[in-house]
Parts: sequence; C-alpha cells; structure tokens
Amino acid sequence: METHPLVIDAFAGMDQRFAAPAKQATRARDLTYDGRGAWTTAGGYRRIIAGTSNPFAASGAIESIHFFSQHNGSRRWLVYIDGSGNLYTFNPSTAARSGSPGDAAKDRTGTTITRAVVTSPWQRSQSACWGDHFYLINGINRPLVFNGYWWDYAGFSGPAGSPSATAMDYPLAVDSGGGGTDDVWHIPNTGLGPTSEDSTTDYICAYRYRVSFVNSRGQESPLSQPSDLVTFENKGGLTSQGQGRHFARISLPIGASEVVARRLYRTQNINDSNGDPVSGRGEVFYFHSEIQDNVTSLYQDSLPDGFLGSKVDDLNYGAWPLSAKFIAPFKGRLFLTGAGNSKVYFSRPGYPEMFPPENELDVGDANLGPITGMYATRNALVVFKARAIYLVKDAGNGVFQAQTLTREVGCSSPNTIREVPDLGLCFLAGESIGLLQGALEQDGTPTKVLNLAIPLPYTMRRLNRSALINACSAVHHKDKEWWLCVPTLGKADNNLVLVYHHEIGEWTYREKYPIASILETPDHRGHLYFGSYAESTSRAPDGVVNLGIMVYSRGWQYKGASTAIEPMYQTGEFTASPFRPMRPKGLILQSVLHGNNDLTVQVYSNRSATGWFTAAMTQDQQYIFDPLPVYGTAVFDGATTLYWQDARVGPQRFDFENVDAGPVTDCTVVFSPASGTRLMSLVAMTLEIASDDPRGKPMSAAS
Amino acid sequence: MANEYRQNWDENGNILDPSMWLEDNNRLAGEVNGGLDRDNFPANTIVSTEMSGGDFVEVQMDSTNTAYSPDRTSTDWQGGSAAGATGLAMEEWVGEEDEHVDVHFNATWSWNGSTSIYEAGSTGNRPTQTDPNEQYYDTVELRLVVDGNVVATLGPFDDGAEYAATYGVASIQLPSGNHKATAECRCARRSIQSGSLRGVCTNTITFTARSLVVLERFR
Repeated sequence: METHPLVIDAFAGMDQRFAAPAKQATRARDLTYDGRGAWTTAGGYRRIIAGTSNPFAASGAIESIHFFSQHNGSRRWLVYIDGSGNLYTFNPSTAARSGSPGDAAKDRTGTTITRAVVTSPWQRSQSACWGDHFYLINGINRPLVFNGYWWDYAGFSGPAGSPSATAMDYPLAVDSGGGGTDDVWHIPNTGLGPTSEDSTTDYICAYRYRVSFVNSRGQESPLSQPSDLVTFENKGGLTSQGQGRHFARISLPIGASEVVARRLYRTQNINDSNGDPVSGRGEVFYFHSEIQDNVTSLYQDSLPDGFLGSKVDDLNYGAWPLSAKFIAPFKGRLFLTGAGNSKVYFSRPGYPEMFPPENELDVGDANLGPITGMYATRNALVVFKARAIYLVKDAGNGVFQAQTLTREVGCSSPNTIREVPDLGLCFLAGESIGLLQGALEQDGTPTKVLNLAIPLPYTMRRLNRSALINACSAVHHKDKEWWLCVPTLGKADNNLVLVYHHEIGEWTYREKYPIASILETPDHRGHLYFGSYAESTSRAPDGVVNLGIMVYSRGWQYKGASTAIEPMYQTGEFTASPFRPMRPKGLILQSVLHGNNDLTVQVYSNRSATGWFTAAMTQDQQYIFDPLPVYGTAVFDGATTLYWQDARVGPQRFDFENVDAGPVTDCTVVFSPASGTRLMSLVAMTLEIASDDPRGKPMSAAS
Repeated sequence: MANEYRQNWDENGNILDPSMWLEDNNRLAGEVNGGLDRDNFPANTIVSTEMSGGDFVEVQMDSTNTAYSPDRTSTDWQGGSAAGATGLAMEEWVGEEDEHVDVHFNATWSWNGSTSIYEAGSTGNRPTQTDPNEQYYDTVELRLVVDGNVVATLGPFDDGAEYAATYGVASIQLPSGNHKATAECRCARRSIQSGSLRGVCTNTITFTARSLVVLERFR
C-alpha cells in the first residue's frame, strides 16, 4: 500500500491549543532541551544531605530558602526557615558533610532567634544582600540582618527615648578660701552659656537635648523628642563661688540589645543676653558627642556652644517600616514596600537601615490591588501590584518617581519574578505569565508586557488562584530553563513545575517536585536548590515524605528517594480531513540512540483517551546494524573491539496497524522510555500514513 | 557551596557516552582547578597528618655552635665559603619551582681583648691617619648573600661590648634551580667620626651560636 510521510523535522515544546501544529507537544513531561535539538530526559532531585538519617526530619515544611555570600563569594550560606519558624544558616560544604541541619540563628549574645511562619498562602520571608550583610524580612517580625557571624535586628522601629537633663550647681567651684581666680571660676572652653567677669552681669541660659541610638553597622535611629528645657543663670564675677558657667547632667535612655552607641544632640543657648528665648533656636540641634556604649546612663555636659558639631536635620533619620514585606537594593539605597499601603519606602543613600520620613513614593491606584512584588533591573525598580506595573526611576538628586507602565497586567506571585536571560523580566500574572521586555528606558526600545502562557491555556485554567502567592520560580542557567512552580486546583502547595526553555521559547512540565521555595545559587556553580514541603504523605505530591533542602541534577536517578523520573512526549495532532481520513501505518523516529533500554510508543487517534495498543510498542534504542556496547555489560579490557562513542542520532522504526480504529482524522503519538528505565532523547519523526479513502491520496496534515 | 553533584546518571543498558562522563569530570575540574576556596577547606578539613612535608613551604637551616674566628688581619668579606662547621654560615638548596624565599640569620659573637678605641696620633694601634682628630675602633660587619646578591647588611658593630648578637632577615623572589645563601663577615678598624676604613683590627672576634634559616614559599 502506498504511504505518504507526514514529517516533524524538529520536536517543539507544549502547545495546548486545539489546532496547534503537530510539531508542538500536547504534553511534554520531565524533558529538557539539550541544545542540539533533542528533548532528553530531565533530572531528578535529592536531599542535600545524603544518607538514611534526615537532619531536616523535625523541621517541617521549609518556609523559604535564601542565598547569601560574603567576600566576593568566598563565604556562602543557604539561609532557610523551617516550618516551625526556626532560622538556619546552612553551609553545604560543612553542614552537609556533618549531617547537620545548619546553624540555628543566634544574636550576638547567643540567644536563638525564630521567625513567624504563616501556614496559609503568603509571600514568605524576603531577603536582600547589601555589602557583606544579609537582610531578612517577613512583614511580621522585626527585620533581621546577618553579618556572617550573628544575627541582629535591622534598623530601628522608632526614635530613642527622650533624655532628661538638669542643671548642675556650678563648675568645679570648690575653694576653701571663698575666693578664686579666673582659672577656677572661668575655666576656659568649659561650661554652658556665656559668662562675664563683671559681677553685675548675669546670663540666664536654656538648653534642650535629643538622643539617638546607633547599631553596630553605624545605622542611626530617629532622634528622640527633645528633653525638657534646662535653665540656669551664669552669674558674673571672678571672686566668689557660684560665679561662672554651669554644667548640665543628662540622663540618657538605654537602647535594646542591638544598640552599641548613642549620639547626643543639643541646642545652642536658646536665650539671648537678656534671658529671653530666641525664636526657633530651641528647635535647632547640633551634634554634641557619641557615647560609645549602651550602658552609661548619666552624662555630664560642659561643652560650650562653639564646640558643637554640625546641625542635624532629623529628616535624614527614620524608622524601618516594620510591616514591609518586600525588599530590594537599588541605586545605593534599600527599598521596601508591601506595608499594607501603596507606598514604596527608600533608605538614605548608603544607609540601608535608615528610612527618612520624606523618602517614600505612593504608586497610587489603590483599586489595582496590593503591591505584590518588587524587582530591581535595568536602571529601574519594577514595582508590581495585583493589576499594574510601575517603574520607579531615579530622577536625579535623590528624587525618585514612579511611572505607570501598565494597569492591565500585574503580578500574583512575588517569588516568581525573575530575570530570564535574553528575554526580560518574567513573572506569574494570575491568568497569564508576564514577560516584561525592553530597556525600561525611553531610548527607543519598546517596553512592553507579553504573555508567555498563550500556549498553555489548559494549564493556566488549572492553577489554584487562591494560592498563587505561594508560587515561586528560578532560572536554571545550566539547562537554560526557567522553572515556574505553581499550585493547581485542590492544592495550596506548588505541585506543578512549568519549565520554560528560554533558549528556544518552549514549554514543558514536571510533576512530583515538592517545591516550597527555590533558588539557583548565583555563584559559578549554579546549583538549583529548593526547600521541600513534603512533610506528610497527603501533602507530598508523590505521597512520599521527604523534608529538607533538595538539589536538582540530571545526575540523580530519582525524584527524591525512589519516585521515578517519567519522561514522556506526546506529539501534537496530525490532522486530516474527515472527507479524506488517514490510516497511520508506522513511524520513523529520529532520536539519540541510547542503548538497549527500550523506547515505547503508543498511538491515539481521534483524540481518544484509549491507545491503539494494549501494551505499548517497544524497541531498543540502538542502530540495528551497528549496536554499541552498553553500560553494565561491556568490559573494556583491550581484548575486544568495544569502544567508546558519543551518543548518535539514528532512526527507529515502528510499524503498526489498527483495523478497529475508525476513520482517523486526528492522530497523536506518545513516546516514553520503558518502565524502569529513564533515558530518551527525541529529535524528529515521520509518520507514514495511507489513505483511508479508496478514491485517492490523503490530504496533507498540518506539520 | 563547594559541593558538586553528579551531572549525569549512567544506567545499565545505556551506551557508554563519554560526553556524559566528561561533563562530570569537567565539573570537578572546574571546582579544583583554580576554583578552590574556603568553602572547599573549612576549618579542620585538612590536618597536618594529611599533608606531606614540603607541600607549601620548605625550611633549610645551617645552625651551629662551633666557634668561628675570621682573619682579623684581612678586611675582606669572609666566612661564607663553608657551612657553619668551618665557616660562618652557608646553605645550598635546589628550588623545584620558582619560589619566594625568606632568609633569616642570627649570630652571637665575642671580642677577644679590651675595648679598642684609639686616638689618631697616639702610640700603638695607630694606622696611617689623615685626620689627627679621628678616633678608631675595631668593628665587624655582616651581610646576607643569596646567589651572589647582597640582600641584607648588618653593622658595623664595634667591640664596645665583649659579647654581642644580631639578627637579620631578607626576602627575595627566586627562580627554580640551584641556590646558595651565605652569611659573611668583615673585620676592620674604622673611624668613629666617618666610619671609613682605617686598617685592620687589633682584637680578634669569635662567632659562637649562629643560624642561617632559609624559608621557601611556593605558589
């Protein structure tokens, strides 16, 4: 019988639309694109600490994992929070070797620090690196900062307590003779306020003080409210005790454990020579001194006005917005947002823990939902709302402004925002997958938002929208993949991984990955780590409890301990006209010939759920006239003709017939490795068809 | 994150694809060849018993208590032609690769005879002087020489104290090959005012304990 070929010259990724070309996959699972045109078996994952004893077993589901490095990357940690709120720093090089879950976070006194964990879907803890410090926030607890040795609270939640001050009697005026000299009563450069050698000239003086706290990173709290007015009279004259300048005694507030120093500010003498207050002078404070401890409670002030430091502007100081949930460094400042309003807060330049009250932007449009994420890239800080995107730009001179990019697309999942190479900023946008392209500048390059999910309409409808905030993503540079981990209906956890092969712009998917939080290490190693939520059989996507931090690799045989990697590729539909239906007679598959492990083929026609064969057709993945030696059997002892050879692409022929099938208008083929094996690499195929119409040849199918 | 993970899985029945094996090896090579850092070697990863001698530094030493008395009648540099048993100090070694070398030397000596300060024009101990107001004394200088290059000079030290000691160190970059470090001394009578040479010493000098230490540091 004469047959005709329908050719797929290169397999592509998934396209779930009904009339997608046959080269697009209906389904493509556990596959990766190898860069040479083959869809090959993807990897698996394994707990980062091997062995039967799991040190993470008591941790519960991992809440989030983060990466932190110091000294140009020579000290590195995974920072993670477990289901009980325990915060750990984990160095795989040491902790993994010793079978430890890592070092529990402690402050400088050795007190363990824990974090709040929300069990319902939430944005989880967010982090940012600034210099050699690692900042961690969750919008609930006080922000933390890690210096590589201990944890500390970042910033200040409010101003220091107000100091109180009293005037002392007289300056060191002790002379049993009842008299003295200039040197005794008028000590040069010491004491407050003016004084006169004329006993008839007195000066009534007044002062006020403010205090701030300083932490170990030199970050300063907002200034306290001013102290009460300290008033005294400097009596004139040179001869009697009681003449000369006054001292003042200040009672200083003691700070919390993160405070290592306090700074004292003071007015100049508020009064004029008549003893009347000068308008405004009581509100102008100057740097007085730094008390370099958090213990001293009393301070004796004898500093003349002329020795004060520079004038302080309390608009340069501000508290950390404690309820902020998102954090990003940008333009030498730390940006915070997600504090339950539409505001973006930014720090003083160079001072990442000081947020002056005027350093805030309102990105408006409250009816477009809450702020859902923030990402700094391409000279802009991209701020996402549920239904809008804004670009925060530096307008110069420390002025930032927010530009509305779109009010149509927003972000649903803050942990999915990632910059994908050669594409742009990708993120999950609820019913779509956004791609923000362009230079984000007015340089002629269009800045636009595209939808990467157009080929995935079926999958996007399956997403559990109420739990999308749990979704997360990472770019796996080694395999040129963007992993988008999403929850589907009925699940709050991410049970589906959509993989975007950004080199060719195609989608596949993976299942049975319990990914609560995922990252790729930004060092040269590029490991793909994720924290597992598989704390119970019912919660685990494969029904297997497996807690801890996992690492993905194509070198693992399984997902977890024993869950199979299940590569499967289902072609798109070869379609013929109902007037000229076709009869598939066989296929030639071009694939990488991996050896003696079988490849299986199943055929489905007319979009039926039932395949043609009760047992799928199987065949070795060998070139029949020149089979190669295989692992586990071949012995390279020099006495044989066995040799090494790179895997090669070759044809595999499958002939089939199904007389029970009716007239075939749609036909699809499913490829997968035989049960118990895992390797296949598909390149192209030809489907041979005969006409089912005795009057003539079939029409060409879409290909 | 110095951990590296297997990149491919070799399954029974699959052909032996060398590119898969090479990918694994490539990861390891990338980690070891220039990529090692403190993550690879956290504290106590390598203990001394796990390193063979000379892995990173080698120490050469010529140390002796044998007395050595240079020729007081010569104002030439001397003592460097033999090791401490018969000379002042000498060490020879072969550098297997280019290296950074620290040369350390210490010596203790004693003068035989009373302090020798002489006035020009006085009788005895009186060389040909050019300035009648000069005073002279006996001195000894020391120097460290590596491959013929003077790398450190010490002194001159006069005989004002019967016993004296000195310590010197020099740092030098050397290529691979044969090397020699010597300590040499020179006895001379010198002008107190100008330091200029004014003849030979009257008193003899005896070096007692001394050590020449060569510390080789390899890249």
